[in-house]
Amino acid sequence: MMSESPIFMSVRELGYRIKSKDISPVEVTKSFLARLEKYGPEYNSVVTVTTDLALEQAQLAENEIMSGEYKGPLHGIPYGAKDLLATSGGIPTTWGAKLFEKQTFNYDATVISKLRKSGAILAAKLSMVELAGGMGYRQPNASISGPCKSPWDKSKWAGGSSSGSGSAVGCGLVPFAIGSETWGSILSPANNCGISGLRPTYGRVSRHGAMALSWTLDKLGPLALSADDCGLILQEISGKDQKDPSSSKNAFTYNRDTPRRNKLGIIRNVLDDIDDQVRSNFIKSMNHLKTKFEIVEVDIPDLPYQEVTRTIMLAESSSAFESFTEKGLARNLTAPEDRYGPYARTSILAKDYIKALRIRAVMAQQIHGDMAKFDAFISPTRNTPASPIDDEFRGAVTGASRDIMGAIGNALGLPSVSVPNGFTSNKLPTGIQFMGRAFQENKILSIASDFQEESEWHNQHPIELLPKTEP
Amino acid sequence: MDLEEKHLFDLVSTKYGHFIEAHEIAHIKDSIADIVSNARALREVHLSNSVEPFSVFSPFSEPTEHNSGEINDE
Repeated sequence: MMSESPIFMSVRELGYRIKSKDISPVEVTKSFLARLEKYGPEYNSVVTVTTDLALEQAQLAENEIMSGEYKGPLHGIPYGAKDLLATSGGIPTTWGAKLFEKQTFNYDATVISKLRKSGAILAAKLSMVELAGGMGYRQPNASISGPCKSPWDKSKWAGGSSSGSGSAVGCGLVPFAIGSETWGSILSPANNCGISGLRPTYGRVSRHGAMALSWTLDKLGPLALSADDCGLILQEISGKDQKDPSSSKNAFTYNRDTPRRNKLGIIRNVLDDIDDQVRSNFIKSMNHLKTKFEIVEVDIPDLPYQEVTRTIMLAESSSAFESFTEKGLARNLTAPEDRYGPYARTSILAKDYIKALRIRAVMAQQIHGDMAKFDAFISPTRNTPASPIDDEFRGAVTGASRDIMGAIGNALGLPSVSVPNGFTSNKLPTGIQFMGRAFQENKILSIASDFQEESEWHNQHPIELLPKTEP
Repeated sequence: MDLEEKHLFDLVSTKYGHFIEAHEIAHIKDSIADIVSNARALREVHLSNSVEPFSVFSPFSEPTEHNSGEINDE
């Protein structure tokens, strides 16, 4: 029944072929389960392969589709979920930490429930940095699964904290995955794994059932092979949820046909202190974009963007993990810096945290105004390509590097999509991000999709992972 | 360490010192210095009395068939 391998096929194409009964959800699922078992341990990208559940859901999807009950573009398509999303049925949810390796929940996170209703098939719980990197980790091995590896070079890191979500999609182990971002955790793996990742507007996707790191910064979003796929997935997982008071009433319907101003902004000095090859690829991307867009340097108000985001993240995580901290459980974490990370942040004064929240309100109004003249702000997704798995990295969350776009986007809950825009001389992928105003996912997805239709970066996959190498 | 950093370190040390190993103390002092540096950057921003944070609280009512559970100003 299956004449062409589903591996590295887009969600849109897979969905079309499943709908037209050209390929079978059961066969597709078996193909991906085999790859999860084979490559998951090699890349440290998988915590649990949910074989029994996946085959059960695949058979149900197949029966429904054969009897004419087609549910939509994700029906019959396998996916993986970052291991901070609660799953029922005895499937562990480890939060990436050895301490929680036997943790189970008797309910599903809302995003898991929504995907089940869409007919998507949960094939794996994917690896992540312990406690979503919230304790201040500085090394890729800070995970129950070991350092998660980039599909493009096993000696390089997949990025974090949604490491397995990025690596599994980039390795062709699942067609798409769900990740989470507090500050950089979707965009960083998208960059390092050479795939597309969407950080939705805060509140667009219910956080119910996701490990809380920082209530006012945490977002859930898709990682996939293209921005177009991210749009299809977001439509299925977004929406108001009574179980998450911060979830938005604004409905999202994916629509690429979005009016534009044909103008992109780039924050002045955002290219300072970045890797030469990252800069070179970004400039090539800008030159391409200039055929359609006017690109203007933007001066933003002089505000302590990174300090605001960092203070909010540290203070909220200190409260979210109060019980964990008071019991001294950090001693059981993998990374040495995570074992003492929770303590210093308990000294943040309430008035400083609230000041950060007040400045955030000022930032929101001013940046909203600054962005009004543009379709999106653009920048390199990351300042550097993937770093070696044995090296400490310089992260913005700990203050070791600069990430103004990330600080603004996450503090203000703005959507951003990262897509691949080239490779370094060592064949490591680089990315470009398009950040929009709140609830303007359609606009940035539309621009990113057009960019991808005119480039081939997202269609390139590591040779050793192509399906022809399958035995 | 300046005085503010010292006071905060003493607070952390008093509360959590029994969990902290000797070689971690310098790292915790560095982290506190970063936190104080962040706080000073925030304190330099002048805000008028009327600038308030986006609300993180809304009154709760049980969702019913006719009430979504969200705020309705009746």
